[in-house]
Amino acid sequence: MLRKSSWLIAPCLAYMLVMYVTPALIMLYSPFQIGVGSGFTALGEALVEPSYQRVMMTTFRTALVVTVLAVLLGYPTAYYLSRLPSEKVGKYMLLIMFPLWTSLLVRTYAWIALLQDSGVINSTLMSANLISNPIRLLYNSGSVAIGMVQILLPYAIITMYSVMVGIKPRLSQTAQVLGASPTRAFWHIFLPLSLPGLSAACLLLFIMGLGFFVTPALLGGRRDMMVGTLIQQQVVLLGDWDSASLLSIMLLAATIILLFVYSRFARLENLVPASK
Amino acid sequence: MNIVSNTPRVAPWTAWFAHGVIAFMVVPTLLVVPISFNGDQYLSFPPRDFSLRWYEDFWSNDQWLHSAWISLVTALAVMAIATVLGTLAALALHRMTGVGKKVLLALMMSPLMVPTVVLALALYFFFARLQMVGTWSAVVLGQVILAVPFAVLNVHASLQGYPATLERAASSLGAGPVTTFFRITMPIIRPGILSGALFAFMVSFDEFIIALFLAGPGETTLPVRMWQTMQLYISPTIAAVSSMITGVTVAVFMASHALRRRATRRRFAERRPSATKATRGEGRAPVRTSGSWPGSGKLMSKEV
Repeated sequence: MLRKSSWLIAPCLAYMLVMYVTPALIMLYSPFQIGVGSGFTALGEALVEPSYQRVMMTTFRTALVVTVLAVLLGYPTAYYLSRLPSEKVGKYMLLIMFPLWTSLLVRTYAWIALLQDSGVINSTLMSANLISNPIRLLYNSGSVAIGMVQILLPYAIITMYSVMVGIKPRLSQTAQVLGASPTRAFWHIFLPLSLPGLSAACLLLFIMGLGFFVTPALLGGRRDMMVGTLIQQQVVLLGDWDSASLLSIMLLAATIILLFVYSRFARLENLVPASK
Repeated sequence: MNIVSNTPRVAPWTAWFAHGVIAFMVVPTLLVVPISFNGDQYLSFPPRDFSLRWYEDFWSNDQWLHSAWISLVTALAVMAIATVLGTLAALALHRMTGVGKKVLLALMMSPLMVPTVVLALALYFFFARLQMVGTWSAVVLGQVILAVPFAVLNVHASLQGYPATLERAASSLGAGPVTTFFRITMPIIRPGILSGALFAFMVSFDEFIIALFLAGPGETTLPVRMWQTMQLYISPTIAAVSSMITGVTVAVFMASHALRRRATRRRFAERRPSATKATRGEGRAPVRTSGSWPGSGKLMSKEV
């Protein structure tokens, strides 16, 4: 029966074409409705508009910072997990998957509860008489970074782990038997072999970081606005559909270019382990 | 294969570091539970006096209850549509090869890579033309796009190693295609369908951005209500809501974990020879082949 089952894809394909591809095309086309020339003029103007440029710079800078932080924290963690005997890994994986399953708003709220002036950290420090006035921990680029790194870490760890687990422990041991110190064995054997996982994680995290919306909006201050929040504000608060679609096209273009780069490094299917 | 090579020694600081990082990922979220039982107006920690007032606040507030109800109904509708579409598509994709399969798979998976804000904006334009912005069906139709990849992936993964001979045997014994599906195929891929459905449910239940763009005031889902409340002031009621959502999530998470474990066990019981092939990592058990991690299908969820 499955042999002639290609038609089974029809309902899903039709759905995706109508509900997903068509809306995307309508949005991409909207700046060019008046004319192709004026569409490109509008895009060019949006690219040099100072307020957009500022938000774009913040977006790229934030994505870069959180990518570096998440990889720095995730690499040793993935390394540790990949060197564990398999029966111990399962429990750690459950813990690493836990944040992926927890509601994003719940996690963001938890950071607010932790970091705000009357929050857990400040009230603990104050009742221990270590500080007399609350430290301002929330609504700055630091709190945005903390929140985003926590969200991105599972992706970083899993992407790097899946490469590291294929690196045989014997390789490093052989190097050490031949006289290399453990540190040297790591830098000369393990690190180069883990580079595909590292670069894949960097790109994946950066792409995801660009599209963040909830975390910067709730944990950041006015100056930490990222492009996702700007798009939402343009539509919902200002009703400015044109600017919103121009910004979306810019964000989408950045994502697609990076995905293309990613596909040079690694197979796109690797982004989704369950598909293998 | 000696034992030493299977358990390499790692520097002790790596272990401490890894435990610290995992604690950073898990502990802050769990802190909302003690906070939610705090009687104080402020989110003090450790809680000063135990109280259930924030839970009472939720259960006696019609707006919160209505949002919880909307979220539940929406998630069930999204789950139903996405599971049917995704299961059918996975069955078709399983038998396809070549470029066609790649293109179709990329199309089905791409909603996970497109920034959700962009997708939400596109849907907003689209439904605005149809005069459907602010309706419940628009939210459901939009969220299905984000849930389809998980339904496809989970069923597709459960079809790996599915013995085609069984179907041929069934049809040679006179079973029609429909009988074959319900008596042969369905029981084998049931764990995949079920975990795909669970994912679809969770994706919709958590989904925030599409709901924010498309939902009308009468269809405010739980995440949107939380967002709106947080914009005004950080009410401890949200801690109670968060704790309850986390509790439900952990329950669903455990259910899905059990499902996957069962599915993996069954698959490897059926495919002894390939189980050895999967054991590349020097005597490591094949724990991480074809999505046997709990929740690995959600790896690409767009929740930002």
